[in-house]
Amino acid sequence: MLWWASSPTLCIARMEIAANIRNLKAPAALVILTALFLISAHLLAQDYQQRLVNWTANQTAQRDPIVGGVVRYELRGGHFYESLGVGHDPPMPPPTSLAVLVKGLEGDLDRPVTLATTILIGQPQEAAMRALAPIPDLAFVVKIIVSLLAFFLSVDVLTREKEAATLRMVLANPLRRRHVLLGKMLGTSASVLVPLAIAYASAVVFLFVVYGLFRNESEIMRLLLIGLGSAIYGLAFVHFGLLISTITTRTRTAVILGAFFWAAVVIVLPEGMMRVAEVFSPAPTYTQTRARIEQARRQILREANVRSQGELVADPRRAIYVIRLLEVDRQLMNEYLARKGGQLSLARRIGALSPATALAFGLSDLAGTGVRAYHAYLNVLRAGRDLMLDAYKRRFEASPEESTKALQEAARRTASLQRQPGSVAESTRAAIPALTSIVLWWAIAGVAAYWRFEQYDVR
Amino acid sequence: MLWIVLRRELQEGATNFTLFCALAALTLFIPLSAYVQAHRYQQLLEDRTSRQVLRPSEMHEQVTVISRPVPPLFSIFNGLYGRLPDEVTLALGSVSAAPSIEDLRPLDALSPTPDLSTIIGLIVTLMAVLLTHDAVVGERERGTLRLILSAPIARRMVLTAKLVGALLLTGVVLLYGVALYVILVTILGGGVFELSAQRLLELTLITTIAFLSAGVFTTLGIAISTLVRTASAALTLSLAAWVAAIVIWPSLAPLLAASLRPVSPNQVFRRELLTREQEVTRGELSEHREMAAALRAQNADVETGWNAYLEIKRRWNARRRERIERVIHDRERHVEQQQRMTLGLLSISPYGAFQTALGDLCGTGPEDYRMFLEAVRRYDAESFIPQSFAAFARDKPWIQAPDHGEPFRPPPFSAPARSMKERVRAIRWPVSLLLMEWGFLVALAYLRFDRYDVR
Repeated sequence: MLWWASSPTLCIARMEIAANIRNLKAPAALVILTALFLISAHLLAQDYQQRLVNWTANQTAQRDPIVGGVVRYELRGGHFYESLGVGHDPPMPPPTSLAVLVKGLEGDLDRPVTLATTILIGQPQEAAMRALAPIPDLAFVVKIIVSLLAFFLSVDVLTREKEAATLRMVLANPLRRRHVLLGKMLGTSASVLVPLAIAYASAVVFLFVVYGLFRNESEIMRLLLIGLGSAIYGLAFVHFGLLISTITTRTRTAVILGAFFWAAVVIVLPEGMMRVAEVFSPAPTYTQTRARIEQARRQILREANVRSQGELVADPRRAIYVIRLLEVDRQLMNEYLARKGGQLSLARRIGALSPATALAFGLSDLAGTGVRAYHAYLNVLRAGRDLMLDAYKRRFEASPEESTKALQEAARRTASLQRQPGSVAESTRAAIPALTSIVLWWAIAGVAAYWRFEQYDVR
Repeated sequence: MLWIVLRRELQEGATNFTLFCALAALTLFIPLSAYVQAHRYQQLLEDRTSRQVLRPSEMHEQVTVISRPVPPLFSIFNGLYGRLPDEVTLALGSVSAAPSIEDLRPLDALSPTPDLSTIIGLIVTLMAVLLTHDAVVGERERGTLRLILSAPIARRMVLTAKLVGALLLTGVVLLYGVALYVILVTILGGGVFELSAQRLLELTLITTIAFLSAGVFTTLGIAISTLVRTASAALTLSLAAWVAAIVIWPSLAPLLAASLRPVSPNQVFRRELLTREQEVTRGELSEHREMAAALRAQNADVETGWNAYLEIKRRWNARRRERIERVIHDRERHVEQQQRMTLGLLSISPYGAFQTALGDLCGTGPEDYRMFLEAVRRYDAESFIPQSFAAFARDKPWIQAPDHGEPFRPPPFSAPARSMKERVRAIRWPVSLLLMEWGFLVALAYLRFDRYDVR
């Protein structure tokens, strides 16, 4: 295999890989990543199965009859009535199988929502258990551990050779400096990417064989894209580490600086960006929105000079007030949903500045649990509520039987509104800005490392 | 003699790049986190006042909304507050305290906010591990270990000096972090976080627990440095141990707890609950129908009819409580057992033990939530139901007078609070685990160092 031995870059790369295996860094990375990926896959697959059981029970419950009735007590001197009713829990969206790898925003969407003339949002399922100890998904492991391992492998690449005095020996050969650096880049990248690929493949095979997930083509495409995204992220951090290695002189300094830089980019910056998005695009909470709706409702009741909403609805002359009530509700809820969606979009745009946030948004979009899916879900909520509202408003123009039929029809159509998973092409298009930003960071780090190494002092 | 070696350790540590980086990291991260936490605390309080508006003022509804007060130390450790439903609606007809409606929080799903416990748990422990991972083996590689040991000083004294020096430095960094955070939250919070004597006592207790937890990582680093041959192997092993303690074990512990103490899925439970409620409702409705028909046949007076109606309602409410409450209690007991097991297993990792202890100390743990629900249930059974039923009975709907007597005022609810002594007693398990780990690691380090080859 002459081409393998003759190119100086590849020679250096081979030396680098061999060194990483000898000092047990690459094997350690392989073991840690495989263990973490498998544990996370197992935990989340169990969680997915339980969510599936939950959802099936919920769907079966939708077909349960609603028990209730009204009993009128007609007596001498007056009358009163008793009304009782027990319904079933509102429908929940089904879990997506790719959420086993990239949870994304799925946790926030996994809640029952009642769509009537208003939107009533329930609490996320299994909140009690999940709140105590959140399960890390594959995206979390990639974001935190792959970057840490990439740093760990690459941050002392030059400094350890400089301290062991072998770097000057390598450069004493008739080699260009840039071949040496390129060789080291290649070698370190391979030492990170091969364990990552093996770990990822083993997790996917585990899920495929043991849990029977990922059986259709679009899911497999998404899997490959997620793997690609993770690989690009790993490469970006390898080159960051190499850049740090070119600007420090001692291993110890490089390790500490690397740890500090990792914590800043992976832990602090993402958090900071979310808060910046919250500050620049504030959204009211659900409680505040409902409080405003309640205040407007009381105002309208006062204007109509009635004591309760029941009286208002029963009186056909007061129809205009009822319509005002419904419109205020619709407007305020739309504003709430729009502001939440806007906040998320702003966070995504700002997130392109940090590779870690870009990865979180990018991978979740590729898995179909990201911002695009969230917006689609909010649209489904709005559409269902609009259907019910329009059917309800028609009761003032049509006869009671027609309006009841219209309401039932609207309820049926609302129940069948599902969150569309979206095609792979759409998800990829949504994820492209995030992935491009990671590639840009990779390029910047690589070029900077190259430039610094030209003046690196090897003594 | 110990003091001389100790001073050397402290000097070396204080000028160490690690310490400087840790302090810089804390100075960078803590203002951001303090700002976010203070803002969130204020938003929680605003939400509570907003909810008072939602309390219905209509005359014929006997409903009350009880919201859990925000624990004052919420900013230190968010725990479960805000993640479980903290507002409970009690209505006359319903048995269970129904949790109320939640907010959409997509940004939190993507990136949960760090509070002080996360920052200390990550930065201070990472610093502790990086500072001490090459305490012994690094000195041996540099050749200075034999120089120190050639001085007239016992071996154990050298290790003691290293241990004490590292612990002191960790303590200083920890104190700096906690103090900076508390000061910033007090300033930014605008009076929501007051530094009274009670609060300072609680903060001291929290800092002690944090020091215990970070100390485990320090002694872990020193123990590892006496076990391996090269400094880079020590670094690899220390980082692996850190990842295992902070990421791996806290993920595995809930899995183990869930397999040892399983709980039925939520929707299955809800369905069973609703089936029972439907049975009871059907029974009640049929009895109402019979009574209404009988009264009409007798041409009874409306007052008599109202009394008969109230009797039926009272009886059926009692039956409803009896049938359904048992199911709810059973499930809650299972959930509680699983949570206890999770926290017990979690405490095996020092970081997990730290979070478990903080949950109890700051009032944001599962035990406090359970106490709140218990208090609400007691209030419901003893005060709310009798009084609201009495108001319902008085409130005769066929009387159309505009000024219908007084509106129903629900009895006051006092939230339960745990005393300091009770809290300290609750954190026995995690603290004893931490102390055991300290003891084990220190003993290991001493034993290995006694026979350490310094060449």
